[in-house]
Amino acid sequence: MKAWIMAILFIIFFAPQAQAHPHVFITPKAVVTMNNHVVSQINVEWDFDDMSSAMFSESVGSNTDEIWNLVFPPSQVLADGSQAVRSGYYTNIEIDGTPIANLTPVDFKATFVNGGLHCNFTIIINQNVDHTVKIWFDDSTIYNAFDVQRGNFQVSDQSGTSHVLQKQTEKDIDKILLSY
Amino acid sequence: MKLRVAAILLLFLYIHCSAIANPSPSSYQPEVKLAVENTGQQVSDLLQHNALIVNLTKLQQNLNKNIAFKIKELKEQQSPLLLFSLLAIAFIYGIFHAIGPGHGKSIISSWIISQQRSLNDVLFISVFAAAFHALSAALIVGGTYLIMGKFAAVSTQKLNAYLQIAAAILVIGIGLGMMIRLVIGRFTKNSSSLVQATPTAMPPGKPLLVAFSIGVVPCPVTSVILIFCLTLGLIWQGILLVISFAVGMGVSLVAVSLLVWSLKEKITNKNLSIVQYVVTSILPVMGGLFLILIGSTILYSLL
Repeated sequence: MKAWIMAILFIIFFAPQAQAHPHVFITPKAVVTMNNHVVSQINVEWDFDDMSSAMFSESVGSNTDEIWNLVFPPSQVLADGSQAVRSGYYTNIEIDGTPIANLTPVDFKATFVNGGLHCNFTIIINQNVDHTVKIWFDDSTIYNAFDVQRGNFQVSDQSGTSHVLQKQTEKDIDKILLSY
Repeated sequence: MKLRVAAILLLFLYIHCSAIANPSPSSYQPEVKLAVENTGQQVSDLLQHNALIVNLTKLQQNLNKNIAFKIKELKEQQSPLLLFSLLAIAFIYGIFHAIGPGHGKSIISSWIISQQRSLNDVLFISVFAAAFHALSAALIVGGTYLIMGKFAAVSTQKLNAYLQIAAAILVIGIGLGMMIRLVIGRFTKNSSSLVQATPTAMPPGKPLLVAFSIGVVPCPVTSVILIFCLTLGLIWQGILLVISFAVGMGVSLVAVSLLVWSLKEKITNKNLSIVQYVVTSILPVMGGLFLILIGSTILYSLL
């Protein structure tokens, strides 16, 4: 049998568990606050697509707590109709190759600007960096799809140390790499 | 031969269960749980993060942006040309959205493989699955507005969960029905009339039931497009867009169904006894088991 037919059949029968079923499209922005070789925090902004924003607005208005529950639901519906417990907050940070565990957003704020939903939150880190910081956003169910662009990420370093920001793709996930 | 088939089935079940494993903390030893989760995660990662899925997601993101932009434009200028281009984009969006996992492709495919059905039935089930998918979304959005005075509410998500439970039970029921017919057929017919014992003589309403089980859970994108249009006061335009999106989804489902059906026909037409044995005895059992497995997995995760 031809390879492409096998590939299509594979997708049909096995891919339901892949949950590649994007419904909410988010453009993330972030400012990494550093001082010399210490990352203190990352201020994140997520801009939601217009149509999902309308759904959020209709569902809960501008109630921040309710929007938090919708953005980070305790369980997520997967493409195959089943549900899975949400793990993490779609935010991933790796310092010198070591993932930072238990990242929890603080100061979560939700605002609507011209109908578009903007969510802001802060990730507190306070860790030394020798060489690299990697930041990426990923929803394991792909219900939320993140459009990571290099231009939407900045570094604020009071010590004046120079660093390089670039976009990298690893295992088909777009990541922002900050390096010295 | 039978041992080999059983081994393949067991392997298939293992892969399926590993990929979707979500065990409760107390039910597994930590090491076993970790191993199952790791295997599941690896399979899941492999399937989620590949170039095809990523490109499909990016394409949908662009279509989503484009459609939202044009809907807002339509609000400003009621141009028939703009509406036509919107309908075309919604149609393409529907095609690509349904190509991705979900939308009942595995259920339809299992049903086609396990049943001796005509091409008309295959087309019928694909078209109606897409139509139900859009119709359920429109009904829920409309119903929410009538009851609550707004187009979407948190409670509609709970309703979706109940609909998923109903759909899962329906899928299990269809799978069980197929298995029961096979067992009854084996007991009532002799081995020479085995082909007749397979679900050839199923009631004509069955494809509708399968289509309903797929479409009863609304497609969130359909709901979101409709809600976006309604909040802008574009009522009939929103309904047209939903129809166009559903037709696009229907095209994808029909394409997948046709592929599976024609492959099955091609294999069935080979005049080999082993092929005939697989088609008339193994595939119906596998199809029934697959549906029971999918339904049970969904139900287990929802309850």
